[in-house]
Amino acid sequence: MKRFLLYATLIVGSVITVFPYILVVLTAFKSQEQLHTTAPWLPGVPPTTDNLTKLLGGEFPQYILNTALMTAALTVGQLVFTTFAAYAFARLRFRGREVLFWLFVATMMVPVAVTVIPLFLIMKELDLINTWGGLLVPYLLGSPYGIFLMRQFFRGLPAGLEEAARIDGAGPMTILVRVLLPLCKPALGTLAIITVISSWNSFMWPLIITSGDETKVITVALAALKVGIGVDYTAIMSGGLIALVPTVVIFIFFQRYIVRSVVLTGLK
Amino acid sequence: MTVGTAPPPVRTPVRPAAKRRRPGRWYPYLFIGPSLFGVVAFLLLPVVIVFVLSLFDWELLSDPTFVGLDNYRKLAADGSVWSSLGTTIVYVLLAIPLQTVLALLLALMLNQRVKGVKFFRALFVIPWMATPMVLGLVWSWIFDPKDGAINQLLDVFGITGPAWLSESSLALPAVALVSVWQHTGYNMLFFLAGLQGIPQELYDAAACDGATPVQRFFRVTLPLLNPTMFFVTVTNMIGAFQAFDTIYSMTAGGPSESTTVINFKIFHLAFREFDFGYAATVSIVLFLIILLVTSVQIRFFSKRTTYDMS
Amino acid sequence: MKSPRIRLTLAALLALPLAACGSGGGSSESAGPVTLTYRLWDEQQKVGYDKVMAAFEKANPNIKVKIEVMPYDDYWTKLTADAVAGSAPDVFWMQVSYFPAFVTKGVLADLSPLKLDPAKYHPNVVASNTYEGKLYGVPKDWGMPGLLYNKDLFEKAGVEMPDKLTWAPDGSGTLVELAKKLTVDEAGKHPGEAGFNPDKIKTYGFASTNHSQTQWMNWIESNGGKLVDKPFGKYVFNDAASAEAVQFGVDLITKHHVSPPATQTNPPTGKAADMFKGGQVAMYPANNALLPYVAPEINFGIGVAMMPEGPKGRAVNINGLGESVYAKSKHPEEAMKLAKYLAGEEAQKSMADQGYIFPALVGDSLAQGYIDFWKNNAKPVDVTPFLEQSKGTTFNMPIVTGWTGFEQKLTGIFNEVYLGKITAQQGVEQAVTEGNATIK
Repeated sequence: MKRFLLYATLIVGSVITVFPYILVVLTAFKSQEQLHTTAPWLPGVPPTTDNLTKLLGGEFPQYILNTALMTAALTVGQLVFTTFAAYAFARLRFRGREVLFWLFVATMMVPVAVTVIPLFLIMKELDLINTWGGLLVPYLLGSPYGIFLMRQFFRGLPAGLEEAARIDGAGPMTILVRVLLPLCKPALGTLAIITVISSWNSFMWPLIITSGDETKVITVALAALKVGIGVDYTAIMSGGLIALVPTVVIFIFFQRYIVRSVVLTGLK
Repeated sequence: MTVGTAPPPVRTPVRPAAKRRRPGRWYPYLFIGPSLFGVVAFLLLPVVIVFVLSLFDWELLSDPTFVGLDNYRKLAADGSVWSSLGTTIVYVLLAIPLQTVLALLLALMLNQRVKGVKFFRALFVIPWMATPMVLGLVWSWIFDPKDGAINQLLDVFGITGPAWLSESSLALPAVALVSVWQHTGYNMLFFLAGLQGIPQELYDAAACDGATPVQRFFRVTLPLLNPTMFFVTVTNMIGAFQAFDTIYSMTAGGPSESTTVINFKIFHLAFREFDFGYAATVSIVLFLIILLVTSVQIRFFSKRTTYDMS
Repeated sequence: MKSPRIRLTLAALLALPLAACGSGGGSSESAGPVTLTYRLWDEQQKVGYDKVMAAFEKANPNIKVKIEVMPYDDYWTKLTADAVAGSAPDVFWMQVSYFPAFVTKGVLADLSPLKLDPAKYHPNVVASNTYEGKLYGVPKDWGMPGLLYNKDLFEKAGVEMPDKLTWAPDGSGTLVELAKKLTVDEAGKHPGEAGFNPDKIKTYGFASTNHSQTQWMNWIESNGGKLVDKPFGKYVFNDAASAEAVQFGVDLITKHHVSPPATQTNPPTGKAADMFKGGQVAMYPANNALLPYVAPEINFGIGVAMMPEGPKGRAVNINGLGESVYAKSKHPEEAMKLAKYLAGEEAQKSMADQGYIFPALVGDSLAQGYIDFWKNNAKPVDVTPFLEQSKGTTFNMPIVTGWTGFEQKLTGIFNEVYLGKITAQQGVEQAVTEGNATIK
């Protein structure tokens, strides 16, 4: 009975979760005519791949590649530097630790809508407008969000862990890599997923800092499909689907890191 | 800021044991160095500039003029900003508790031996992966008063559904619901990772003491999830106070400004009304409010004891 | 010339060490080809401009043009940021809503040196690119609403589109009459017939929606009302004639039952266009620029009629874009050259022939390319009524500073009017009061 309830809840939850996406997928495979003659939750018969092939035959692959490059760079940078900083904030003692940490977090509390102009001006002074450098640099060295996340996980680890390693003469770097990180695989996996997907979906900064096709990312290309005067739903939904597929694949790839091999029971 | 030239932290055997407890003062800075540089130069500096600009009258395309606290005085008397702050607070209260509790429940369910567990986990996170524009479009289809999925479903039961996004009383709950839909699975990720870190022995010990599953949840799971819970509530709160894009694409702030959240107001002030100094002022006030809420959260969470394994 | 005072002010304020590492910006002096940046927001027109720019580059071998497409919603945010930092493109699209904000702040270059003859362009497009008697944008094109209609639905209802449609605030005139014949409920009844159920309408005769440019602004001006007293003036549409006209738009929904309810058509998620494409609406006022988004999507014959005539005749909104040159362009000479080219027949004819626009340059021979394109289209459309309208009474969108900040509010107020939550009179009064408060 309990099992039944559990599965019933999961299935109902899944339907609600996935329903809007069913609309996206169905619309992506509809012709313009089918779009207006079928309900959103019914498939177009016969399905067409014209929308997808049209987008993929254009400059979309280039934009996907750009996005992938940006995502890869940001993810590597953030994973490394975020982990370092979070480790220090969580497990090392130094002056100004709390103040600095909350200063980091506080930067998340001011809306991007107003910070984007000053940041853009800073980039202008560095001559980085419309360059890959400008696109990447501000977010390459770790994010307050990621640091916060990892700090919480590092803090949750038992206090005595470092002691033994230290007696063996291990330095903080060794302790981090050999002792702490292996215990943090779920957290690292989570951080990786978050960084990948939020970089993949980042919109405001790429839009402001770059304007050429050489650096155009998929979110910006997608937004351009919605012209002021008309909306081509089948194209937008196809683009949305194309943008989504890689993130889902990456998620499934990283998922194994967030779940350890032994499945623990939290509830019976 | 060249980090690479500094010598790596070497532990020499001569160092006495006492040093182990009080490590050198400088090497923690090596770890935070790169991030510190990045955050200060690219995130903090713009925030400081925004602070300064809140004291200016700046129409963006012309030169700024120093006006002291004029913008703050204007804000004190600006009913539309305060009402959009009120709207934002209601939105936060509608979305955050629901998306946190649901996420925790989902995580508990999916932290068990369940068939297709990987499938479900991936499925629930999908809403967070979508671009806001696509989301806004799809949800406005779903909320359509006549052909929308919700009202068609209600129709099956003989209920005539309302015009969700055209009713002042319904539009805000509707967009909050979309936020819950979008963030529940995402938050579940953190809780899952948190649950994975709880040692099985603790549950075994609790079970030996004859604790019921409910007791185990409140005495073992919840306290041990404290750091995760702290992270989730703080970051969700910060995010919800700045919610904007999905709401914008679904209602553009209407009807009757019932969904005009503060961040939308700020964007509009800056880029549509070209009143950047004032937009900066409103941002600073929003910042202070979020800071206040966060410090309350810090206080709340630090009161609760964290566990000690050793 | 790359450092507006704002950045110096900021740098001084914060003692930014960054100013030191900014480059001197003197790299542009070298000979060899100059690359201009040209920015627009329409993915479809970009294809047309690829051709135009290729021709321009051929004629000017030392100039290269790089086209950038920005999403429309964010085009202005990006352009604003660029204008602040001094990094705006050399030549870019300008629109009447943002023209006042940018021109009054010195972002746009004075185009007097081009010595264009304003008489050669449609006067409304000249007006929407003029500030203090000088052109700050090359008149590029014009677009205006016409009445698109579904020929199949007309046939089914056994009616024909008359030579002209008329309307009056009291509901008399051929528009309402025709729309009623085209409106059918699930039982096959028309509005006014016994047993007609306004809650179960299957096909609507007309789409009356809260859209300024294609709807209520035209009702107002063809009823003798005025939107603004003059360019860079103030809003004046709170008189009785304007209120009556707006009320007529609402009546089409709530009184005559010939139009879908505002709950389905109000922006930002309104779907009147989709209902027309889906065959649920017979007549739909739309800008000719919408044709590329409608024509390929429909499976019925599509006709175009002129907008209905009101008590004071026909007055139709016309909206033209401009090609502006950045006042701080690093290559002012070349940018001016490009602007001059875009102002000329060759460029405008090319865009018309490719079916994108009616050129701002007047003359039937130029417009013919656009007409022929649509006549020979896979879904043929006779677009001559648009051209004919453009020769009659036309009016601009309000050319007023603060419009960009006001637009959203105006849409919100009129959403309430169309929902029937406030009266048209209350709506126009509130709108004019709030609008005039935003004028700088």
